[in-house]
Amino acid sequence: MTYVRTALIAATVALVACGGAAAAPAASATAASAIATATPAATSTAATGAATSATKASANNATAAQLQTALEAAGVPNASRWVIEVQEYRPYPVDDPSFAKLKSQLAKYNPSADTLSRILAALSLP
Amino acid sequence: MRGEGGATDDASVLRRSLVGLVVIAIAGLTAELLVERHWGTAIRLVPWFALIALAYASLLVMRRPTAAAVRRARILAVAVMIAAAVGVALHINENYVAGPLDQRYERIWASMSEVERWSSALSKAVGPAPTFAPAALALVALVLLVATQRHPALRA
Repeated sequence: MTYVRTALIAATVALVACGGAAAAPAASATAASAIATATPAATSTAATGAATSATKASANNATAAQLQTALEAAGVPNASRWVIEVQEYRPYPVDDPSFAKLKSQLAKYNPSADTLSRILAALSLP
Repeated sequence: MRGEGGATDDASVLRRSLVGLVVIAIAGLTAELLVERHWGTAIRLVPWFALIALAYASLLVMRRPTAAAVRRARILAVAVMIAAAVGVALHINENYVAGPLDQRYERIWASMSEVERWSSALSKAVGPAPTFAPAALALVALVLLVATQRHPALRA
């Protein structure tokens, strides 16, 4: 039983250590949460202008090329990389025009509020 | 735990304890992957298959293990260790690729040296992937491997 107790204690310590390492986005957490709460209302003038003049792409159905075109038109830097992220977390709920799901996923990358709002402004649902 | 007929010698008790540790760790890692929602693409399913392999290998060691079963468990453990090493590399690469997306780095990423970029990715200063989280799989596989050291079934 001594061995079992020792093993259980060691397992608990190991799992706590692993969990701590995995949940370590400390530095970006604050910024990420700030971005997650940012709304399209915070969109800069440039982003708004780009969004109104550019064709929006469907977040759920558009092809990579269509998404890239829309993001580039909206002035999103590194558009090709963001296209991958937008596609990765599909599908997005059609009853969520604020793109809460997408925002929470993109926040992990710690984008600027301007970039995030440009991305969201370039997307539509379904 | 009938593999060693409920033997109470020190080695058998320690072996059973190690396998018990592996089972607990598998449960913990499963919870971690669930919380992280680690799915969505094929590559993100790899750790799930690794956990299934570890669970199967644990069963092989626990339930009336034959020499062949212990060897199979060892092969699975080594395969999981390799997958874990690849996972660490993929996590670092994921962070590296995410570098120019980070608002703190988007303007300076292009001017940074490769060493600085990879160092930032390795230390998770940039990117969303916990660098060494996949290594937990390797640790668990290693414990299972240790549990098969000098296994009586291999001497039979």
